[in-house]
Amino acid sequence: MNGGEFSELNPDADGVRPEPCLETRNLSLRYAGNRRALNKVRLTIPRQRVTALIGPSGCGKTSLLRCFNRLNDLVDDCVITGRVRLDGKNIYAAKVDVTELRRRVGMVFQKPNPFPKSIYENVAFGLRIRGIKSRRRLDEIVQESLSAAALWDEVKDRLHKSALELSGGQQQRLVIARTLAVAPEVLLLDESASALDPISTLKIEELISELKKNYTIVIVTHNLQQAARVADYTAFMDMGELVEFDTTARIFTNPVKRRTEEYVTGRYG
Amino acid sequence: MKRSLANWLDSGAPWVWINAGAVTLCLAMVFALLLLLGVKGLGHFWPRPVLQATYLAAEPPATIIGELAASETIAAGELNPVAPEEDQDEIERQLLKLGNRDITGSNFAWVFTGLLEDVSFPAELAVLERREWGNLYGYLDGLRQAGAAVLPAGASDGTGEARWSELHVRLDRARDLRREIERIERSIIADINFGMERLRLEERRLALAGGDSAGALRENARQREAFDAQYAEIRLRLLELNRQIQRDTALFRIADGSVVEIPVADIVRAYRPNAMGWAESLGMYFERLMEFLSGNPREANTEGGLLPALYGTAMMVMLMSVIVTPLGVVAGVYLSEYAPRGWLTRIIRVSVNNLAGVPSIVYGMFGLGFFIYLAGGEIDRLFYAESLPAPTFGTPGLLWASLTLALLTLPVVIVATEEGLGNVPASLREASLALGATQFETLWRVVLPLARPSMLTGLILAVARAAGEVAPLMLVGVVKLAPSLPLDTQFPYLHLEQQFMHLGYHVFDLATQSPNVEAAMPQAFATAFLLVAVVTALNLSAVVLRGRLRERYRAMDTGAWV
Ligand SMILES: Nc1ncnc2c1ncn2[C@@H]1O[C@H](COP(=O)(O)OP(=O)(O)OP(=O)(O)O)[C@@H](O)[C@H]1O
Ligand SMILES: [Mg+2]
Repeated sequence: MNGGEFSELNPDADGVRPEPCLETRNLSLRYAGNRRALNKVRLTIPRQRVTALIGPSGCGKTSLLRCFNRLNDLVDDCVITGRVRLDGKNIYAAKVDVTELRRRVGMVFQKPNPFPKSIYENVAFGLRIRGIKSRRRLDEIVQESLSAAALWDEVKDRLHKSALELSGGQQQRLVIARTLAVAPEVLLLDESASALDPISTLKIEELISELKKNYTIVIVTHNLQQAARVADYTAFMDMGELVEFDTTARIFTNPVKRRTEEYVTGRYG
Repeated sequence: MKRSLANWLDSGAPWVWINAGAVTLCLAMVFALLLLLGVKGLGHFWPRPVLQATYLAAEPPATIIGELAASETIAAGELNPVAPEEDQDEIERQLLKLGNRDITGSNFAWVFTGLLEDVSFPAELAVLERREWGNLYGYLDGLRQAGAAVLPAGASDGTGEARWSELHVRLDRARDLRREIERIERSIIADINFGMERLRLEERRLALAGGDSAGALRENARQREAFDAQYAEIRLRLLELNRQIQRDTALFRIADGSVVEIPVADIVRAYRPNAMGWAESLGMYFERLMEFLSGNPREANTEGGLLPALYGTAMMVMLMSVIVTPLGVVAGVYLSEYAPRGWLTRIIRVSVNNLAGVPSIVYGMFGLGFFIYLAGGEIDRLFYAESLPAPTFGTPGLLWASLTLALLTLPVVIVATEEGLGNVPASLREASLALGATQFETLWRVVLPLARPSMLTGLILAVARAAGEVAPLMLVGVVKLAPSLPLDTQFPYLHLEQQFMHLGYHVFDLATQSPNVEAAMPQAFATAFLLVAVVTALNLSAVVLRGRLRERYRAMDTGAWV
């Protein structure tokens, strides 16, 4: 690994310069019909920190997240150029095992998408796929994950009822629990705390702070206070471009670019 | 005024009315069809009164006895030869079932209602359903046992009732004997025949193989002798039974006054409809209905039951489902999940869709040419060489019919499967993949369960189509009268190579191929009704199953894919 490439990561609030985890270079993405969603994005996600992606709707935040676990592979006629590296290895290389990659890079989607199965089976899904069969172990992880996602108390009496009977906010926490259960190294959270009540939001934010000791976390949020509260680093995107990336403190108090300043102070548009 | 009309048009109300009208029309047509089939088909089993009258149009006026089958009013002008009453422009005429086909030659006759005199419904008038020659109408006049009168003959003295019950005693006896004969023929003789055929084929095989086979041949000869001895014994027993069953005869006085002697063994059922109350009639109705459902056909299929056709249809549909479901589902899954998206896949998909529109007789031709002549001929050469030149699989049969229909319904299942898979929301696939599932795991654990209702819908459509299909079956295995059921107690139990009977073909046969149209009509309607009932029952069971599956995925707000 080349030290020069890390240099763009400024030291965090404690003066520590984190290691890079995910890096993109020149990353561009076009959807069918030449719709450009990402344009030459150069971004380094620090390891074991929380990075917030902010920006107006449609600026390409979700598209960027989906490049990190190669979910865009499923989209017809979606062309990706440039490089994405995880721990210094190109994840778009020919010999990469995509399933393995997705096990390391977990994602919670913007819209909650529980399986039409029981609550329990939703959380146990990833575990079963990894070949965990022991009932005790499954029970244990399911409870842990649901507790971490602040959902356990609400569903502990109806674990085997359909997940579709949960409210929207409960479903959102369920899909978080589902991803936590498989313990990925990198956690991509796409507006996962939207549509949650303040108490659940707080719990999720606490969870995120807790998790960053071991995980690298990327969150997308439209709630700037939330970004300021939980993120160590913040990236501001606009029109498919990465406008500015720095520590959260700098982005919110002393941004370099005018567009960033306008956005964070609410004068955007 | 103009304003309000425009308002009315804008409100969408006309569309609602047009839609509702279309739905009503469809429902009305379906119900009218079912009603017609139901009334004509199911009414057939109700014992109808038999009338006796003097018919003045005959020269000289004659007594006629018959069952009212239909009546209509026609314009006098339509009857060119001799319009009996010129002053009337409308004439009512009735179709009478006269029976006694063996004696009078004709079975049905149109008579003018106005020319019937002294119409009565005598209680003693009896109807005989016979094994041959159809119904006989007349008065029971005497009984004979081995040629000697049992009870004194006489017109309507007090002995009438006694004679009638005596006839039934003898009918029961004949029925028991017949049952015994059939049992012997069906099981013991069939076993012997089967064994003999096996021996014959084995000798053929030995001869074809060459080499030293003297020992085996000796063993065969010994077995054959055993079979022969057994057969001789059985034959004697059968002869004796047949002699016994012919013992009784009954004398009937028919419309023209002559007396005919009918062997009791030839009578399936004897009853006096005019004397029966509704409870008795109801009993008779269900007895006849049961015979229809569980009996064998008689009289060129125009009477008796259609168990073989029911059985053949069900067998064929089941075999077809077993073949088409895995094939169609696997093909659908491949096309929608794995096939690379390119022009080739598109062409294949379009072709599959178009296959659904190919006329079914074309499939019949394909089945005949490819399955029967090519595949069947090859199988015969490879595995059944000893019975050649008589074909085993190289001839129309159950297997080929099922395969042909499976091919015919394959596009339906493929299209339904693809549609079901396509309707599974992408978000669920992504959720599964993002959790580290492989494409196959995603398919197996998430996508396929959700697509199951659609696949079942495809199967329902396939089954409904197959059960009602007739044209291709005529080429690949259906016959008017099959000697035995395709599933029995002889090894290998399921006889895939046998020809079979089918309800749809049965209807066609009765309605168009029967020499005795009037007699066949009610049976044709009843068969058609049964066919509709079978298809409906198959559909309903699948719909219920699908409903159960859907219930599990109900209340999902992510999308409407079920
Ligand atoms: N599957 C797709 N096919 C075509 N265009 C797409 C697709 N997904 C996204 N886009 C387009 O790409 C652009 C970026 O979309 P993206 O979903 O990444 O935005 P976002 O920043 O996540 O927005 P939001 O905050 O509203 O979620 C948008 O203009 C969108 O219309
Ligand atoms: Mg988004």
